[in-house]
Amino acid sequence: MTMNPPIVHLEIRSVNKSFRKVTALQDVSLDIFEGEFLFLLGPSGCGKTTLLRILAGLEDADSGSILERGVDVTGLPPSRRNFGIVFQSYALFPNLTVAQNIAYGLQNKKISSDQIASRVKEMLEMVGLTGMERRYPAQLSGGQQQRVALARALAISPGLLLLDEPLSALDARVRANLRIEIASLQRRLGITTVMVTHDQEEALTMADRIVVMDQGKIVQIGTPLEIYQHPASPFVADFVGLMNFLPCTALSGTPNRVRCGGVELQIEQSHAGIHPDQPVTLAIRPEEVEVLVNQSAPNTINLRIQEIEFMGPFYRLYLHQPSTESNENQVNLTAYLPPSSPVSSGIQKGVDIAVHLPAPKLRVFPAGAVSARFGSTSAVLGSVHYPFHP
Amino acid sequence: MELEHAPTSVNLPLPRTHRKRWLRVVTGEQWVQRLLIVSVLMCLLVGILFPLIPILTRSFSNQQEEFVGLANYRDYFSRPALSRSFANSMSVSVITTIVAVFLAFGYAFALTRTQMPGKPFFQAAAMLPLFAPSMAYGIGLVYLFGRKGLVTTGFLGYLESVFGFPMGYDIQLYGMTGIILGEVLYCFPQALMILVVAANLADARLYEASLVLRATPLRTFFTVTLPGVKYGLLSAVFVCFSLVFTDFGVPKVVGGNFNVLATDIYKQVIGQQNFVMGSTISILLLTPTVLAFILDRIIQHRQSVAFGSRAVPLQPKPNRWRDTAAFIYCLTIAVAIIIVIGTVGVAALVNIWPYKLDLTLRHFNFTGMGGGGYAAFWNSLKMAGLTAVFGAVFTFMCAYLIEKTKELTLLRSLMYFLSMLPMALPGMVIGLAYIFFFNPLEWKIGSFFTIPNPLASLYGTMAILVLSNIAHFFTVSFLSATTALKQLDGEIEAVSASMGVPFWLTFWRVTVPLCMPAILEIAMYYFVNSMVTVSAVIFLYSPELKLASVAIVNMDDAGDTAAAAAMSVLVILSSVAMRMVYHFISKNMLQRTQAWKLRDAD
Repeated sequence: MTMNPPIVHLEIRSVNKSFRKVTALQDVSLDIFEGEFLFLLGPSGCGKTTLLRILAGLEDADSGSILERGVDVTGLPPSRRNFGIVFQSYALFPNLTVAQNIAYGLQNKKISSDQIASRVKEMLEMVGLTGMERRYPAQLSGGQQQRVALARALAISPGLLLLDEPLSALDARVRANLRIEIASLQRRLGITTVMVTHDQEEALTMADRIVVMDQGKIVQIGTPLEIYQHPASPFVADFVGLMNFLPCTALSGTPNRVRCGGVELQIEQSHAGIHPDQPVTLAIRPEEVEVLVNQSAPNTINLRIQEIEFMGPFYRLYLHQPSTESNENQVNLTAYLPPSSPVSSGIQKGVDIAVHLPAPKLRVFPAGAVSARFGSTSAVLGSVHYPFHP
Repeated sequence: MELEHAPTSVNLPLPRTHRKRWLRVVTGEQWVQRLLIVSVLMCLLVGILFPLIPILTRSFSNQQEEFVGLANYRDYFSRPALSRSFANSMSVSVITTIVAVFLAFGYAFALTRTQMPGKPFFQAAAMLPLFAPSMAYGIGLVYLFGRKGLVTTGFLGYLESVFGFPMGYDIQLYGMTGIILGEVLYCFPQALMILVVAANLADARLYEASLVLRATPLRTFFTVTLPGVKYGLLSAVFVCFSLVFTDFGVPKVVGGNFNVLATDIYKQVIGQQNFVMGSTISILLLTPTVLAFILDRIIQHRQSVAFGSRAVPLQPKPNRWRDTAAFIYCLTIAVAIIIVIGTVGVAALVNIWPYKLDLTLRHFNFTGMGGGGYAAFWNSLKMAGLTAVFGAVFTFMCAYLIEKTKELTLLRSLMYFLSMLPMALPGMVIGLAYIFFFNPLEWKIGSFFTIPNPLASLYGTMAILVLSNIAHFFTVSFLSATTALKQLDGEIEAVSASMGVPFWLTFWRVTVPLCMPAILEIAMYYFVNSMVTVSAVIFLYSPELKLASVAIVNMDDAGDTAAAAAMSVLVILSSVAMRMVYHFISKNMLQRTQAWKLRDAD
């Protein structure tokens, strides 16, 4: 992002859209700043692609408006808007060569053929495909095709770049490489870019800001760090990164204490507004859980190792609470333990260990919000969900 | 999704949220699209839907054009001489369908599921009947099984002279037997094409699973094979039924006194000038085909749902006994087809059958014959050529506008419906409907109101022949164009719009080149069918504009069977020649336009 006070490039004002009876977007409002790399992140069907297509003019909003630098562009067809677009399917013209594809949008403008040729050359250099001018798309790999699509979109020097899941059709290694390239290219060109993805890792690594969407609504807007560290809802917490959810009870009298699996825990975030003795849910990321050598620290729970997975840089421990006499919900946790840790020599399936849950890291959510969505999935290995992890 | 797109009208107040709706800016480009959609829709209305109105109203009116309700239908079914034909058409269609689909099923499986030798030959041989007018099979059958046919007379007495006793065998060709034999030939390739596609959809994984689970071959057949092709089988059944039910050529030549609906319409209209009864029978001819068409569409829809995922193609393994049996089976059918079509060639060349068996080209002279001779043949070529060019262009435009534009959603849905309609319309119905629609100088609307018919000048011209052919063969062509367009990346239009390139440029530079194989195939389909068709054009040709296929009917009627055979040979040869030219053109053209398909090894 620029250092100056950000200029609003696109302003989305309470846009609604539905297809027949399905609501795709519900009162979506959002400012997109000049030069930023903004991500629309969410599960399939959350409305992110619909929003992108409305920005492009490929779909009509039912109501609401889109302003580009203060000018209403809501009713403009795609051809009257100033953007370049890259699709997941590449949508390259298969019967035209790489050079012809890139030159396609330039030929319609009044530019001399020399200028077009040099622009094509420049674009090919930019995406690292020099020498591929005369190839046809079918003769290129998936990653190369997507670079051509990117070059084609940027050749017309658009004011806005729209990327619709551009990496989803590629295999993991190519995806990781192209991720870095697109991000650095975007920063070099300083072009306002909106990218749609369902891959939280892409969003975390590439974005200036992330807009998390769910069921046609924006649920959180923030930098990758904000989204990761301070998820606004259990949905965001679960969708971005891995998260442990612990069912607890708020304690009366002390606003910052909860009971969890028979253990009292100190939290920093107040559970004000939640009635005492009501269930709440604590959330903590696996890497925030500290596996201890000694068991004397506060906010500590004794857990038994249920499964161990060696992941390379760390062990992933699936922990559960040995059954207690109390009727309270059992605690299930996932924690990471580096092999270099002194504790790691003793770990074994069935061994009891203590984990420390640091108070600043414990987030509190109303219990209902979690159980409605995640309640049933905590069956075998605790309530951790596994989004894609390399 | 496109067709469910929100209506594009502006300034409509939203039902619940009373927010002001933004104005949609409509560019010149979009106006062009709208204009094209409206124009194509008008063509479809005039070519397909409107002509059906007068034929329908006629069937409910008397000779004085007064409304009489169902009186004509009651009249029809109260006259056994007429209603007998309905039962005849039904029984012939059902029997032929069963036989043809059964034979084609085996043939399709031999082609797709065995390693028998000679597959390209068998493929080509099975498609041979497509290039011949259906009268030609009739003529071939007459020379084989007719009163002086080769088989009936025991090879003209030759077998008797060798073996010393009569070896002739009379199958009683004229009537039901002959019609069924001819119609089986006629619809065999159609059923085969559908079943080959269905058989190719088979998923090898299911067969592997069945093998691993140790199912017997018979059980595998009933649990895997049959369910896999059931939609194809049903589709083949409906297509064959409709083809036979509405065919005119075969019953005309070998029907004898066995009347069917299609020949009845011809007799009523051409013989007795009874247009009312002609219309009534036409509607009776139409009803089962419309039903078959609707059932077929439902089945096609189910199939597209059932086979959404990608199957692993089945690679047949060699199996000596099965391959040998398949080879013998296919050889028998292929030889039968070649003999019947080949007999037409022999009939055209023999001096006077069966008395002077020396070969001559005199039957190709056509002088003194009815039907129009070479003028008719050239007319047919011209008509087929024009139908191919205009048909392919129009069909592709129509499919493109429906598939790839987003304007005027409701009108595009209507266009789609109208494009599917011709599949259900028999050629005879189209022909008769065109007479009623294009012939009168003014259209009567209601009992008093009349408007001048601006299209009356088309009647009796080449234009109406071409138009009727495009309408007649529209649906299959339209579906091939749609399939080709659906295979293109759906975002091509969006990408070019984002670059500010007008849609017509992308259409010309990208869409048309990519779809060139399909467009050529459509042109070819129009050409061959226009050459061989007789049902629609027999009502529409004029004395100044005779046609080869009609000439075959008329010469055969007049007893000049050899000349009819000669004309059939010309039609077959020109279609085959065009197919070869097409093959050559497409090979060359595709090398240029489809260069992108050739991957180099890198």
